[in-house]
Amino acid sequence: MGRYRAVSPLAEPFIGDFAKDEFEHDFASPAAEQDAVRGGLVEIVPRKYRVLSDNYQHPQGEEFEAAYLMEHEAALIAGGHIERVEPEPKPTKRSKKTADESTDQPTDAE
Amino acid sequence: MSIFTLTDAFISVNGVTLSDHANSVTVEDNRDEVDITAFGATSKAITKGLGDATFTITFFQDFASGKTHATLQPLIGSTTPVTIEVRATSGARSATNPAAVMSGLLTTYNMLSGGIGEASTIEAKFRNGSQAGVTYPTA
Repeated sequence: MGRYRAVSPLAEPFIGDFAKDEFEHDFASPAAEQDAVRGGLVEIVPRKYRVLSDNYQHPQGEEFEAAYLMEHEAALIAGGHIERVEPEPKPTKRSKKTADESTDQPTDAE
Repeated sequence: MSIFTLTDAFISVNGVTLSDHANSVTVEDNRDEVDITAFGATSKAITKGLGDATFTITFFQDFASGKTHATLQPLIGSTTPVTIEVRATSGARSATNPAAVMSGLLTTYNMLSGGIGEASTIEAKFRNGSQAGVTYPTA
């Protein structure tokens, strides 16, 4: 499932409500996705990736953002060139407090 | 650049550089010949019809992650054209080192080919997959 941004009211069949702006959608086929993107109905929301191989257009280990069509992404992931970098979950209040407390604790070295 | 020997061609498929796994490349940028010879003519006349393009590349097979098979095999089942770029040398694009760029579909992938004692080479054929055809950027 990819994340898209509606750029035309004609995208409503996909998202139901144009005002939703960004939405997740599973197109029936790569061709349907291509039609929607190239037809100017939606654009792909860029996602973060990490380079795994040493022959991709970005240096190995680098993280970058890109908006791949589903088959481009699948080919590059299957080929061992890139992997998705999932966004880190935002810390909850509880875990933030715990982190603050642990910072206040004196360490053995002190 | 003057007349040169092809020793350092640059080949990129879907953003992946595979130059060091290839030893032959052919770029074809064609236009159909449409016969427009009419009655009364004494010679055949043709005009140009639809464009077509084919990039044919011979690769050394390599099944390691990120190399020949891993990069090409997913594309044979794909219906989304990918960008293929070829240059005479690995240097940056320039007026004397223009690129040939095509958005193409992999239509032929010979996963294994060769005989005993030979290097395992395979042929990949990319056909034109967009209306842009082949472009020749210099920058």
